Amino acid sequence: MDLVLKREYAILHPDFEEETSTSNPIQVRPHNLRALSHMRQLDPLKIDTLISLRGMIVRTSPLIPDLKIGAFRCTICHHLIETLIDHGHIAEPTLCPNCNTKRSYRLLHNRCTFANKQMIRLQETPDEIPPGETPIGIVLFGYDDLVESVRPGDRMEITGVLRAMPRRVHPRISKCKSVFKTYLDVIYFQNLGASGQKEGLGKRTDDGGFSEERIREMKALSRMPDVYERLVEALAPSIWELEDVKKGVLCMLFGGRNNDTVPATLNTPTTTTITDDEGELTTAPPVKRAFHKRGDINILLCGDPGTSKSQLLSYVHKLSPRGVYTSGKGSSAVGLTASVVRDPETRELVLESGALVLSDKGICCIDEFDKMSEGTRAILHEAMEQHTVSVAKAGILASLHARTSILASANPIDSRYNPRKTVVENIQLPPTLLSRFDLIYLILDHPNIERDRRLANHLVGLYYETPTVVTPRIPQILLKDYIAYARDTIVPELSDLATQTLISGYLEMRRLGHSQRSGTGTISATPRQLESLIRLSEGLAKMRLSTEVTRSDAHEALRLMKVATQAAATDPRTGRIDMDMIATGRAQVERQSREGLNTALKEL
Amino acid sequence: VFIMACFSEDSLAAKHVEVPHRQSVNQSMSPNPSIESILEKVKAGNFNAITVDEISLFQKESFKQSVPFLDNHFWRQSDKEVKNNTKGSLVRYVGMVYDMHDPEYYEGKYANKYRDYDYCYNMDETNAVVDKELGMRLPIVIVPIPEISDWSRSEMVGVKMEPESLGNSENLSFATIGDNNEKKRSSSLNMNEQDQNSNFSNDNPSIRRQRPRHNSKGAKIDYSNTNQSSRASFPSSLLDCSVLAKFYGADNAAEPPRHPKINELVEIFGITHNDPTEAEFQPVKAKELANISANIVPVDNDNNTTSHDDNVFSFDEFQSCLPDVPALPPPSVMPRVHVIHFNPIKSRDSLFVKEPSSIPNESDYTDDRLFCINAFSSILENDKVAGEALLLALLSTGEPSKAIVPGGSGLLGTTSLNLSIENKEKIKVIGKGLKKYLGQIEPNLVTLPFSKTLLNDGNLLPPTKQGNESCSNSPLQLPRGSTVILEQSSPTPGRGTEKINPTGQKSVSAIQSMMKCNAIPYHFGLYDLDFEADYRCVVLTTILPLDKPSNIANSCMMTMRILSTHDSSATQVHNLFESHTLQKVRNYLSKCRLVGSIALSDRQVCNSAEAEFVKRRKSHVGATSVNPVEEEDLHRWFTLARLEARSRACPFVTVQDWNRALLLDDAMKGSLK
Repeated sequence: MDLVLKREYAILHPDFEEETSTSNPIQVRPHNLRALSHMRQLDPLKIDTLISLRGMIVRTSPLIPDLKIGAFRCTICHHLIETLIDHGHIAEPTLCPNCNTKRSYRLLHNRCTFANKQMIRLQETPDEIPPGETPIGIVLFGYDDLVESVRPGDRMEITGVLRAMPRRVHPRISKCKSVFKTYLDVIYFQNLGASGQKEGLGKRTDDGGFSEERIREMKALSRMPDVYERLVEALAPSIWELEDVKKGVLCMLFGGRNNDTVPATLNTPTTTTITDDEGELTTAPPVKRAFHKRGDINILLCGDPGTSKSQLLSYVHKLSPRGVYTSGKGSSAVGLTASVVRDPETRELVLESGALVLSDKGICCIDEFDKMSEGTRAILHEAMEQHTVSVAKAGILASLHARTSILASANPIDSRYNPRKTVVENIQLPPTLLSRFDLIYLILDHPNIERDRRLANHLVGLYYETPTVVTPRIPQILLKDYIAYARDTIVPELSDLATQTLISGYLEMRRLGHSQRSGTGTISATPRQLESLIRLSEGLAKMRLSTEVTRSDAHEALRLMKVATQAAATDPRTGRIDMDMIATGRAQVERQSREGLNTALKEL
Repeated sequence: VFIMACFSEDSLAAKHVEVPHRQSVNQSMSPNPSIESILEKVKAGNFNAITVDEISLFQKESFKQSVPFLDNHFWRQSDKEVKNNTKGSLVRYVGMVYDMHDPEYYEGKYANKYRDYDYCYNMDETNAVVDKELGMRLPIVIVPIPEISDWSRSEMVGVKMEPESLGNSENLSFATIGDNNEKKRSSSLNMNEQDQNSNFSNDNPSIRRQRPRHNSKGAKIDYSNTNQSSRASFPSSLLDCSVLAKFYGADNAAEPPRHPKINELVEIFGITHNDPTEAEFQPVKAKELANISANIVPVDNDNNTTSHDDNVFSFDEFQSCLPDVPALPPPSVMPRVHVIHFNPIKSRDSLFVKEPSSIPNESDYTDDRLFCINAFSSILENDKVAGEALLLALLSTGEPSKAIVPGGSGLLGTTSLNLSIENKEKIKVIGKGLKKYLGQIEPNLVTLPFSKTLLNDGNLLPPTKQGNESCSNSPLQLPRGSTVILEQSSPTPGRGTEKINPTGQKSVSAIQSMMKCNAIPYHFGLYDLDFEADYRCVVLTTILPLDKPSNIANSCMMTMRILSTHDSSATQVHNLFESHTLQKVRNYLSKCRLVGSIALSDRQVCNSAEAEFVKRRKSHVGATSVNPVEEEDLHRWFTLARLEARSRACPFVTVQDWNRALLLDDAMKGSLK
């Protein structure tokens, strides 16, 4: 196909010089094949045919020079001959036509022509692996401009030709075994991004990877008046109550709108041809920092033990595309970011991605957040606001994307939540980190007879022969697809009415601090809260697959914010909402009393 | 100028592919399927002629016993018919699925079926695939069941252990193993290089053969040497070897081979292939074998029990007791078995139950239950509560459920027991007694000593697999229904004060997940995958759970402190190790475990549970209680009640079970105060 296209191009452009470049300037790259093959079901009949596979890149080799044209020189008369490689074999000239000497040729390495080649290992993604089995993989060979175009951790759809090659008994012995090794000669890399998890939905289409039937089903769901309630009901149905927490988590799953126009180029050499998220091959411009407004919502669940926090985290990470679950206690800074390890196969130093990098464009669930070490927490400052993590180890300097929402859970330092203390005092988290959470939920376990009775009834019902768990009206797989579809395709805009509502709501929150106290007021809302409100309302609009954020979305966002903030940022001494407690770790009253004390001491 | 042209498939002409004619499988009916007919075909190398009828014979118990069992003894038996057969032998093997490799493509879909490979001289590599019929098979590593006890092995394998034969190496002739063709061996080949799944390592001369790790029969594996470099090794024992089994798919359908899952127990029937041309025949002495990894313990023939040393890591003293035995098959080559048929072993307990002559009534179970509690409490310082708790822990078995416990692994009914013991000396004594007794009544018992040093050194890391490498040898990879004793060992001198490093934290989190969620995260390069870990865990520690809430032991469902009683009325059990007593206990435990899912159908129990929960919650209102009643408590009570029902082999929970569960729970909580 390359040749045909080249000829056609030469006819159209007579000035096109075919031999100017050693690499092939015109290449045909078929992709989007109708059928997608599965690594476990690669029928031997597919050998030497064009196939398409999905998986995760787990390892890349360094660049391998691949001999294309061999240059031989006669040792007697210095006659030079160039020979093209054919199917991996090079025919060494045996007789010199100049001096008629036999077997006098020697290969000149510096006159040979080499092409770039890279060996890549593709492995099944976790969602594709059948239960109780280990992942399988396949080796890919990328050539020329496909070299260094993928990184470990990328979820790709690969189009290429499946090859099989007999195994030699020994590399230096021509005897072969009747066992073949298989590999794929890559023709096209397509980055799947977060939507790489859409599978098992029949024939794929270009519309976000879902079939038309599935999209119709999702749109029908979005038009239902009670879609919000249905989604809440479908989220972790076995976890009792916690409706508002579930609503906040849903907003996080759908996410706000990421205002980031710079393509994924941070780690890519500036001159290389890369594949961006849309699957198009583009030449990356030099890295430049555009204005970036995060759309990902971070949530902290804080409260008494045994209140289903961990269960909720465990549920969310399974539901979310690219969800990663980690425990703060067992995590180190490198475990969250990236570590430099020696590849056991190639013996090269490679970056092994950590939880935050692996959950790029997904959700990172961190349990026992309070038990994280200081060093590890420091990493999160950059990741939660800038959405990158920087690595400087073993001579490798890299800035990796970590566009992830963080759902964290923390237990109070005294095991039980002490209502007489502030949130910061209870969970001992630095305020700089705490203020980066959009929603902070306090989940407290207060014994209450009526509530306990209902809880007992619910728990006992789970143990019946036919458990009395309410079957959600939205099946799990549909919920998963719905979230993935909304995240990928819906970009909501704030309507004028919603903007006005948000502004007035924000001003109201600000006024709350002033109105409650004469003189210097407490800070009951900061611009960070306004940004959070926008993200929440955008998430709510996405739940309806709507491209417009309505007034009701804004109202609901304000309500969610109030529910979360009210509990978390209420000063136990005054009973008022004080954002200073979260932003600085000290309540306004405490600060004032300290200032008063300082002044008094100075006067003395 | 760089022009890229991208076409969708629609615009491309479909590539014409010559579809080779698929031969029909040998579906023909054999007139009289028999072992003889199969053996004849195997002897003649005519594997493809084995019919469907003949394969169905492999399910018959009587037939199984007539197929030779593949163990280390198999390779040195004197039967020339077997060992001189260059085509391979029909064998049976029982083990645990340990690792899976990438599918393997082989030439001659029908001609080479059930053969590892043929050699092809002067094969044109460039056009190798043209006009050839390729078949696909799945190589799976199967290893001997880790830490299997002697009696359990005899029941499962059907072959009696012959320890004395290990020392008899005079009949051994390496030249006659498998293939009679003794050729110059290529010693640089390792297991991976022989199969197709070694694309990366093929060109890498730095990767060389590694010896397999061994563990002796009935002895503990030495995990102190487990490290990242031992990935290419597999557990084996002096009696049993690991095998690389190759599973084939249906011939007439393009579907992947049917195969068992990871950690499943399986019985396979297949044809061996062990090419000595690729093996290194350095005779490995047992002493050397011990040096490789194992802690080999001499067998005490008097009472037919295996005595374990207290310190698993000091095995030097045992080396002098060992006979010089060659390790067969050669450690450089793992035997291949081409699987004709396999039977998954879903429940080991069904193999162990010896049916009595009459149907037992409930009182029989009550007697057995009482006997077990007395027996266990006599090991646990006559603490009846601990005895009952241990019985329930040993009876617990995972029941698949629709994730009743939120966030749980989907298993219901499993439990783990934490026994807080006064001091480390007592841990040693109690641990020794437990290991000795449970080793006789449990199918496989694994003892994992845990300390900061061991955790930090990565000895308790969950299995790790990167790329096409083999799974790392992890002590946490066990079959369903294994019993694990986690014993807090004394710290290594001079190394007891360090903090737990990230490696140790990974191990801690894996162990916690094992006890709490019955799942262990296996690490596969860039992501972790949870694998079911339905193990019965008993933790022996000196730490009270309330002292250190983050301690491993706190992840256990049942926690209690052993209170030694010197009650003269306590029933002393003196005949613990008598064979009929042991058989009685094994029988009782297996029968109770076989009951299946325990239902909660009695409304009275549900009402009692609701009322009790509300009542106990209410009692904590206003109190600044350290231990308030939570959701988890109710789940624990239900689990205990279900286990109480199981201990009577009853498939449903009664009010008595519920009350007994609450009493036990209160007694356990009381012991901690």
